Amino acid sequence: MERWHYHALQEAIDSSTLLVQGNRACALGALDAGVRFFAGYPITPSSEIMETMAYELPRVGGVFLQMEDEIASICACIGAALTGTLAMTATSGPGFSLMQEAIGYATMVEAPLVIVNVMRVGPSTGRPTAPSQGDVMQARWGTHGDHPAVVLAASNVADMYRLTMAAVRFAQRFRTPAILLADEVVGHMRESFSTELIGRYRLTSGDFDFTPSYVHPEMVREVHPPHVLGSKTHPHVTGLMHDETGFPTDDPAKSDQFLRQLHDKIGNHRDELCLYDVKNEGKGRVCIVAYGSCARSARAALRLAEQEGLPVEVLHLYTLFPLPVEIIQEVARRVEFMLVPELNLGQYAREIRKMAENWTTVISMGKVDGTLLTPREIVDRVAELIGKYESV
Amino acid sequence: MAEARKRRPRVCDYYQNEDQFARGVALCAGCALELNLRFVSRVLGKDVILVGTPSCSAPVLHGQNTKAWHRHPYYACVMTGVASSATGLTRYYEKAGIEATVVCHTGDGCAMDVGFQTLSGAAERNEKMIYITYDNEGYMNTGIQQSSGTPYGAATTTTPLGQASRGKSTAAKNMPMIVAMHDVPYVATATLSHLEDYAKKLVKAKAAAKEGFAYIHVFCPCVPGWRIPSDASIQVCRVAVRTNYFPLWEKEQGVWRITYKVRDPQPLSELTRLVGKLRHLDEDEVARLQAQVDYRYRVLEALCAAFG
Repeated sequence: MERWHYHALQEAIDSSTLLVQGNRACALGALDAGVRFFAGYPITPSSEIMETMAYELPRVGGVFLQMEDEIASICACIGAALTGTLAMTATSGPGFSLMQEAIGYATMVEAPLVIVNVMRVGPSTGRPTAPSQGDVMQARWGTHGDHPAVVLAASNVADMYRLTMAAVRFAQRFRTPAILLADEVVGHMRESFSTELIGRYRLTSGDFDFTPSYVHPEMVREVHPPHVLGSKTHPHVTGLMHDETGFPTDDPAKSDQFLRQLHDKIGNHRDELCLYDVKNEGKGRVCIVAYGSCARSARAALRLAEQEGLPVEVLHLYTLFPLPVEIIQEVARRVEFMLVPELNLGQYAREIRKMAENWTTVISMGKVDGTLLTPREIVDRVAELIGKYESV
Repeated sequence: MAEARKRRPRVCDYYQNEDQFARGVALCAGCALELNLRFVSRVLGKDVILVGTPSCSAPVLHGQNTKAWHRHPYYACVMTGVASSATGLTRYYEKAGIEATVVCHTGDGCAMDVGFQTLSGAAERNEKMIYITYDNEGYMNTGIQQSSGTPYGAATTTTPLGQASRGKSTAAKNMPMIVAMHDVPYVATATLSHLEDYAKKLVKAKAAAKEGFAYIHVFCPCVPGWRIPSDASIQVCRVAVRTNYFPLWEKEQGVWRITYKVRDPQPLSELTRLVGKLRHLDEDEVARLQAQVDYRYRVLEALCAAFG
């Protein structure tokens, strides 16, 4: 706790709350998790993460680099990751698009790194200063080929801190790029921030180990031994399909095995990777499934609904991928409707529908005008759904 | 008789048309970019097609809500592909026999960093266009981050002043020189304190763009980013020229020429004193920057002497 107070105000203080910007909280989370390499390129609305890193990293003996574009940024991070450190970059939609090829490469060579995407309205230049959740499926399927993905979504300033830490932890443990999605509102919002708000999923320095070629003991059988460049061995690192030695292979059996292992090391650990909160558990006829800034609206909508006597529960997802199949199906079995408010045209609702349609009706509630969904809008939709049901 | 007397052309003699920009535009007070935009548009004429990208010029060139702030045709393309997007235009205009001047107008971040590859590609292919870089030595629109154009020692939000950092540790790319080495028909540097010089270069560039790639690198101070008073941007341009920090030169069909020779260059401290982002430099650091400036000027002089 003291450490990030030190970072935030450059002096140790004992006040229990601080007013911190989301992007800054993200950088502080990364620093406290032990990230000591950052390469980035300016883009609204994520530049403040880079600026904080530019101020803080030299002081703690880390490496800060401003690169010539986002492709260079992520490639520098992969290079750093291959020396055994853990690297991070931050960007927004257009830059995230540029990074896609390298994200696939990082997945293939099992380079641990964290990519923060503070989403803005797209496609293309879109609206740089308006929030969106339009990059959700790009975070999952943006790069080519069959690949696993670890994608988290932050809904407030505390999330920016703790989920960055979680992303670092997952990247390091599963030796894979981990993507943290935020949006313009979460990134630019300033709100009070304290240990109480960090709450669950708070990690400590014991959760991280940046020793080169480190593999978590539990993961030894699932993660390929890391090839550390500069370790006086002669490792071979390639984006070609390779086996555990690092050398390319055309052998169908080895190729199949390698790719399946990449998936399995993520898929077999869904219980650890899938972070979520359920509010008003088991008391709702409608479940609002939300993530990112929409989850804030959903939580506020829950309070409104309670006042108005509407039976609602909220499933707040912090992990979008790997898909939290178990909790979605558990909730789907007990509610009549799943309402998915999101700032896109139903990208994640389609994923939920695939998982839940055997048990419940999944209703997408998309908004793409660059404004947030209000609690009132959500509650009105809930009332409408329940009303319809009653009248049938 | 008086009219027949030969006189030096004045800046306004180069104007092709009235100002194509609205009177009040959404740029910072004292922004040199505003003068640059209005000037380029008046000298090159209103029929140019502007190609640009998200940058400081975006609030004005892209327009806001329903209204643009200008009357030019404008193609706001992706930051990675300004010169290649413009190539699509020029190649098809050529095939269709359409007379049009395509003008790429980007900042130093696009030209020197993210769009450098396509700029270099277009120069190598000798595409028929004018590329104007307004060099405000950083990413000012996203919050004053360093770029490849940021000089040694400058304080920006990503090269901050502090215990472990004394501003940018490396020199700026010598961008006009790099483009000149592509052997394109026309390359020049210009700034807003020497508008006649700039106007002549724009006219030459327009002519050169009929046969190939023309590049103009414009020194364009940023009031908030450089921490200078809003009435000082032209003064900073002038001092940059007088200290040889930004020499005015051109390379036309292989011939190098300094277009504004400074007889008695001022020491660089005149510039670092004026500009907030360089004011923290101590004597040694100023000397180091001075050495970089002197070296570049000697290279330029040698090229002018050898191929003048």
